[in-house]
Amino acid sequence: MSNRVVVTGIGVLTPIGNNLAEFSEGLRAGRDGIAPVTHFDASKHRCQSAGQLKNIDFSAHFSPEELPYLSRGTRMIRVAAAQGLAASGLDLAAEDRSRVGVVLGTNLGGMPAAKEGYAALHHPYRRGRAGPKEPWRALVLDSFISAMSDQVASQYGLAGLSLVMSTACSAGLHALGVAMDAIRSGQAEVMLAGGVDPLSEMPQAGFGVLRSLASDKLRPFSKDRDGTLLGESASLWVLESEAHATRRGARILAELAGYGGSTDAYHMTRPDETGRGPARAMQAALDSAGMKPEQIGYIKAHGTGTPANDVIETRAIKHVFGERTQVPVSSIKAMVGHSLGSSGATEAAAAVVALNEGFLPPTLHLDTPDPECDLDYVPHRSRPAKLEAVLANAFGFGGNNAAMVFRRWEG
Amino acid sequence: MHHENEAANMRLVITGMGAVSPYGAGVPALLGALAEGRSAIRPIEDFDASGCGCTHGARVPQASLATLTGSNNLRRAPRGTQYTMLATEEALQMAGHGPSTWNPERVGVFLGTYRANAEVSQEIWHRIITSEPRFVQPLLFQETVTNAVASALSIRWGWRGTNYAISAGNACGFQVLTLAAQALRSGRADAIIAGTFDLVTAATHRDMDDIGVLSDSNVSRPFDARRDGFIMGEGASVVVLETLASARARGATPLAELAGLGVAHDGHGFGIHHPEGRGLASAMGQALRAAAVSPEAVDYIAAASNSTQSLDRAEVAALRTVLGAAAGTVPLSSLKGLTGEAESASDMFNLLACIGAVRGGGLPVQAGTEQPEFELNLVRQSQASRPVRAALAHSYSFGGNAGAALVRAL
Repeated sequence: MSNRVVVTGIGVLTPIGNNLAEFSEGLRAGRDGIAPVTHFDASKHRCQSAGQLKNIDFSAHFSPEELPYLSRGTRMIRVAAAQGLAASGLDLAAEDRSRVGVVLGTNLGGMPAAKEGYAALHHPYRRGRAGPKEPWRALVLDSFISAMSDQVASQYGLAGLSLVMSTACSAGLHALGVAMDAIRSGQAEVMLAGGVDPLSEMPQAGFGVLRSLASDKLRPFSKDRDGTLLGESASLWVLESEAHATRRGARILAELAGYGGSTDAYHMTRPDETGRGPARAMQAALDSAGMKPEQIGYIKAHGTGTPANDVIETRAIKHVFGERTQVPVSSIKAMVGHSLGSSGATEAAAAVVALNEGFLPPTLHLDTPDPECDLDYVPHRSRPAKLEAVLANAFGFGGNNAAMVFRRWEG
Repeated sequence: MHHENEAANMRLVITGMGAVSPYGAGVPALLGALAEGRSAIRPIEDFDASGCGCTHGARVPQASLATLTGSNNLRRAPRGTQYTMLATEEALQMAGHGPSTWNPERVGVFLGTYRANAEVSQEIWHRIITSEPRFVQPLLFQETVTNAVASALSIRWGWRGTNYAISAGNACGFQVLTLAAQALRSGRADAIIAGTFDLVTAATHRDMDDIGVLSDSNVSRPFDARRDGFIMGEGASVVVLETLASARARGATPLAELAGLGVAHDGHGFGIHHPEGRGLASAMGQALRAAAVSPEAVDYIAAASNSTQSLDRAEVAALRTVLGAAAGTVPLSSLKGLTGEAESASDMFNLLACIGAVRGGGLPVQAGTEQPEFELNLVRQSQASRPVRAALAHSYSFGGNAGAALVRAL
C-alpha cells in the first residue's frame, strides 16, 4: 500500500493575494505587499509597516450574527479552509470524518482578541460588570492559539487528530509535517493542515524592542539588510494519501516527499552561528524523501532579512548542498512579510506554485550583494525554471528548525 | 527473536516521571495527597479575586519551591519554565539519566499547554496598554512564544532532536503523547521528554469567571448533582518516554507501559461538548483497541470531569458507550475535586495517577462529590489492597478535544 502523501488543494490569504491564483501572480510579478499598518494604531511603534491583508471583506464570508464572535485569526483560517476544500473537490460528507484531522501552525492564533480582556484588568472587576454582550467576552474562548484548530474541526465536523503546532516561526512547516506523519503512519487518509497568524501589536512591539525589524525595507540576503518586517497570512492545505486522492480522481498539486526537524539547543533568540541545526533539518527532510541534494531544483528559504538568519541559513545550505552549490534560493518575505507561525506553511505554498507554474519566486530588494551570502538568490525578478523537487525551510525562536521536500507530481 | 525485537520497538514505556502540582514539587507529594484525599483548593491570595463569583483556586505553593529554583538559577524564569524544568529534573533522575545516556540529536522535547506563559503575555499587554510599545521588555517578549519552555529544556540539556510545542484546547496531554509515540515508533528519536504545563493568572481566572464556567460555591464536585463549575488549578508534569527495546538496551527499569493511546475531536460545535461525548468515546475506544484490553480488564479510571454540567455529563455518556455495564463498576475518580482543573497539566496528573495505580499505590480519592448524579463506582477511600493491572487516563477539553491513555504494569 502506498503511503505517499499528496496535496490536492491549497487556500491562502496573503498580503499579495487572497487565493492561490492571485498569490501565484503576485509571486511571478514580484509584488511588494508591505504597507503602513492600518489594522491597529502603530503610531507609537518603533516599526510602522508590515504585510497586511488587502481587499478582504470578512462580512462577505460570515453572517452578521456570527462575525462579532470570531477573532481575526479564526476569520482568516476559516476563509482559507473554505478555499482549500473547494479547490480540492473533496466531499467531506462522503468521508469517514472520524479519521480526518486538522493541524495548524500558529504563534498567536486568536490571542490578539484578548487585548481588551487584558485592558479590563486595569479596572475594578466584578463578574458580569460590562454585560455578557460585550464582544470581547464572547471572544474569550476564541482568544487562544488552539481555537484555530478547534474552529476548523467544529466547522467541518472533523473528529480525528486536532491540534495547533506553536513552535514560533517554524510552526507552519511542522504542522504540515505532523499531518504528513499522520497519513504516512496510516492514522489518517485525509488531513487538513496549514497555518494562520494575524497581525498583532504584541509581536510588532516585541520584535521592535528586540531590534529585529527593518528600518526601511525587508532586504533578504542583501549586505544592507537590517531586519525583518511582520506580516499576516493563513493557508489551509488538503493532504491525502496517494491512494485516497487517486481513488476519487483528485487533481494532485504536488507530493509532500520528506520532512525533518531539529533543534539548535543554543540560545532562546539567537541562532547557532555554525548553521548545523538547520542543516540537520534539511538533511533529515532529504533522507525522509529518499533524495539527494542534487535532485533539489530550488530552495524556498526562511530568509527573514535579519543580519544573523540570512548568513546562517546560507551556511546551513552549504553544509548540505556543498560550498559551490548552484541551487537557486529565494526568500518571499520581502513580498509578504514574516507571518510567524503561519509562514512555514503559507510560504511553502510558494514552493508548490514554483513546481507547478515553472518559475522561481524572486527575492525583492536584494540591492547590495553580501560576500557572506553568495548563493543565487533570484534577485528582483522571478525567473522561469523547470523543477522536479524543491525544499522549503522554516526556522524559529529557540533554535527550532523544520524543512520539507516537495516533489512534482506526474499523474 | 527478530519478531520480539520488532514488537519491543513498537511498545512504549515510561521510564521517568516528574511533577510540580498544587502540592508543590515532586510526584510523591502529588500522589500521596491524592490517595489521602487532601484538597489543594484554597481562597486565592496572590491576586485580587474579590470581584469574582469564584474566589478559590489550587495554586502551586511558590514559596515551597524557593530552594529548588534558587539552586537552579530558575528564580527569574517564568513560572511555566520553572515548573516544567523541575518536573523534568525529577523525571530524568528517575529514568537514570546521565550525561551519556542518549545521543542528544535523538532526544526530542514535546510539550503541550493551553495558555503558555500566560503571565508573561499579561505583563506585555500591560506595558502596551498602560505605557508604550517601546517599553516592552525584550527578555520577557521571547518568553511569550509557546515553545519558550521546550526551548529552555533543550538548551539546558543540549537535546537537539525535533522540538514540539502544541496546544489542543485546555486538554492536550495525550495529543503530546501521540506525537511522541509517532516519533519513537518511526525510529526518529530514542527518547522523548513529553509534558504539559498550565498556569492560573489574574487575567485567566477573571476570563473564566466572566464566561461563567467557574464555581460560585467555590467547591469542585465532579459528578455531583449540584456541581456549578470548576476551580482553576495549575502545574506541570513530564514523563520520559522510550520504546521498550531502547529502555532495555540501556538497562533502564520502566515504571509502566503506555499500552494504548487515543485522541479525537468532538467535531460538533465550537466550545461545546458533543452531548454523547463522541470525541472521548472515540479516544477511549482507540486506546483500548491499541492495547488489546477489554473494558472489563480496566481496573481504574482517572476521569476528566471537572465539575461543570456539560463535561461531566459528556464523560459519563462516553464511559457508558465504551464500557457498557463496566461503566458503573470500574473504580473511578476525578482528581479535579482535589487539584482543581489544571487544564493540560491535569491530563498528565491523570497519567501519573494511573502509573501510580498500576505500581500498587493508593488510588486518588474522589473528593467534593456528595450527591452523585450518575451511577459510578467513585473511589471513596484509598484502595491500595486491590491490584490494578490496567488503568485509563482521560482528557477532555471544552474545545472538543479528547484523549485517553491506557497504562499497564510491565
